[in-house]
Amino acid sequence: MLSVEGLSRSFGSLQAVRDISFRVHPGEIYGLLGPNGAGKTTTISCICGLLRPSSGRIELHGTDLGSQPIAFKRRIGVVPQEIALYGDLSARENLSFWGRLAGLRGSALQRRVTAVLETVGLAERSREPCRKFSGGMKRRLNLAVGMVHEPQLLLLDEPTVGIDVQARINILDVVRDIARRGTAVLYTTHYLEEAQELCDRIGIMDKGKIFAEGDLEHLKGLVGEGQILTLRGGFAADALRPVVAADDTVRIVSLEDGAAMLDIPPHRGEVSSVLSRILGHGLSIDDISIQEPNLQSVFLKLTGRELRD
Amino acid sequence: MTTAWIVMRNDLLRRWRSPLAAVVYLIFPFVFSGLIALAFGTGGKARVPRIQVALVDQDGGFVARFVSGAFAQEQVAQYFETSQVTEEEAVRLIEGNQVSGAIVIPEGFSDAVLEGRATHLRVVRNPAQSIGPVAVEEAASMIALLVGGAATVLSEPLAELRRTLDEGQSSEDHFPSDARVAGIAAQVNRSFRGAGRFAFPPVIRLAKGDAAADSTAADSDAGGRPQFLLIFSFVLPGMATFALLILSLGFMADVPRELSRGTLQRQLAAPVRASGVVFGKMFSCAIMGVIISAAMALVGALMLGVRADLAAFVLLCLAFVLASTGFLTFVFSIVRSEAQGATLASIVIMVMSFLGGSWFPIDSLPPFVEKLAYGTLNYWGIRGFRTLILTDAGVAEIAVPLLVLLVTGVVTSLVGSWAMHRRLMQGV
Ligand SMILES: Nc1ncnc2c1ncn2[C@@H]1O[C@H](COP(=O)(O)OP(=O)(O)OP(=O)(O)O)[C@@H](O)[C@H]1O
Ligand SMILES: [Mg+2]
Repeated sequence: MLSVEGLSRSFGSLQAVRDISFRVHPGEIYGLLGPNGAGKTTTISCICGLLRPSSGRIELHGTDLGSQPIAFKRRIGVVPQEIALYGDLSARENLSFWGRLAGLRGSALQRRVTAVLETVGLAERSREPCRKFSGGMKRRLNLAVGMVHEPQLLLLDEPTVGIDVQARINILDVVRDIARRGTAVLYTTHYLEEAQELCDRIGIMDKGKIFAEGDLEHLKGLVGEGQILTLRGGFAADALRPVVAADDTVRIVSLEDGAAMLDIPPHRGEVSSVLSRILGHGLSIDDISIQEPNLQSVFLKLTGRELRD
Repeated sequence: MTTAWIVMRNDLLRRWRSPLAAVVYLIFPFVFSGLIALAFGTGGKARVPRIQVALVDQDGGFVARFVSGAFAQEQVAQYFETSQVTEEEAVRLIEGNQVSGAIVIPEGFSDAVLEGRATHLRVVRNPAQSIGPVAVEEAASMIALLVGGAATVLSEPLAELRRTLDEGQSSEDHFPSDARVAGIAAQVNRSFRGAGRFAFPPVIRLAKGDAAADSTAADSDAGGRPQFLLIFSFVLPGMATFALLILSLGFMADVPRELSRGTLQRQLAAPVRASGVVFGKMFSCAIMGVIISAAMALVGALMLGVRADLAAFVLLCLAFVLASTGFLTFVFSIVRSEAQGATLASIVIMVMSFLGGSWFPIDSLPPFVEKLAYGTLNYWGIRGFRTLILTDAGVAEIAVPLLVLLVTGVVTSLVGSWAMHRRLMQGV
């Protein structure tokens, strides 16, 4: 089990990660969901020993990263956000090199290299220089490198950025499969759907903090049963605000000229009464959408910001 | 150490997969040395102090006067200052280190040339100087080539000229008749047209010797070697040291390059010590340096006939490569990016190469620069390699440069690896 306690990391005056704590159990996929600059990569870099934490404690099955870095790192695999491969070398040569660095040798190494090549579907092209690979193939090889030595904890930093649907499906399948075999997985992403679909538990991260944590149901529970009403049209923010404020059960999530997001309680008829009040004031609305509670609304509610791709 | 080994193997494998850079490092010292030798041998525009030559004319004939006249020509006079002396005076001048060498035109030289017989120009080198004597030899060989070529092409008109001169000497008036001159001119013209592409067999050989050695040795073993190659092998050590430094630059620039690609971070996230990664990088750089040195030595030995003491040569190469690797490791440990590192390292290497004599013989620079040269890796490398190539020296004779490079190598490698380790541990 990975246990992160009170982890902080600053770059000069910028606090990239602020006192976060979480655990990832064997066989579990834990998602860190956050927008650009949330501190996801910084967190991963601290866990794989590349960045020294400003404070905090990181342990894997009782092995402390600070005091036993080599023993700790032997048990983890890292898949960095940027593809980190040697383009002049083939997939097999890349895997052999990284496998060797992770401590594999001889026939065990060859067996594992062959196995992960099969897993990520690159066995047939394993002898070409990987600079000739497509983006999706490189991503898959990048993933394979992280798991060639069968780590107990796999750190995945946005492993599906910029690839097509097919490659994404393959990668998600591989991650699910490796978790099923007992590996703990820490998975960062800014794709809601991915987190929703893949992760057993999710930590919602923004500006260096984890605001909330739990499985999808738990997180949805945090926003209550409320719905998010999104309005677009030719209205002015100042005109809309008093109309909405009149009803103190409705919360304004965001508001600007021509666009508004409102958090409406789940009472029967509430949405239509809010709408009719707005229209009754002569405000012009062109477009209306209603969202059931999901991670998006959780994120909005917790951080006051919208999570965008 | 296992880590270093794995990292080194991987780096070399990568180089093997894209070998272009290594080939460039190997070839360019030769290309540069060749260009310099060419420029020097055929009168390039470089501003160098004039070289003092003693001209000993024991022949006094027509062709000998042509030889001394050649040195008075503007293009040649730019580089050489000649004085006509006797052989005894020439030896004295050499011993007093007042001339770089002497060219001896032996008795019967003109006759031999005019009759198309083989003859030789003798060059006596001043062993106390480095590049001057080589230049004298080069000049003499150019003259030999010219005179020999002319003699071959003009053999017929020369024979005619000779008859004319003989007759002129015996008769009252020393000038040949107009008819004779016209006849010779016509023959010259025909000969040139028939000469085709100037394929002259060398009629005049060059005999060389050091003043200290037997100066009458007619044909030293290097005598048949084109003089171009002499300058070439003189310039080569400078270029080779420069190339090895540039090679280390190319290898250590891999650190910021891999940092920007994320592969180095990935190595450091592996269960290995950062020092292993650093040493691996330094090993691969050093091994490549050794491979390139060996290749250059092989080319030098096979193509140029350069001979040197093998053990001393290998030791010197290792010491130089160690120093150069350590030094550039240090340079790249204090920079933030590949571009920054490449710029800084290039400047440092250029300055060292300039001051250290990779491009100019340092005795042609002001004396205070010579002192600065001691602070460069190039100087010690060149001094060692040149001693090995140009004399029959062994380890004992190059002990000073060897020791300087070894100590520098050990110190810079230790400091460099420590600084690089620190740089990588600071967070990437
Ligand atoms: N080496 C560094 N030096 C200075 N600041 C840094 C460094 N690395 C990250 N930061 C800053 O720390 C904050 C968090 O960055 P981080 O890369 O962890 O975000 P992220 O959640 O991974 O974002 P993304 O989704 O864009 O990858 C950002 O404001 C970033 O500018
Ligand atoms: Mg990131």
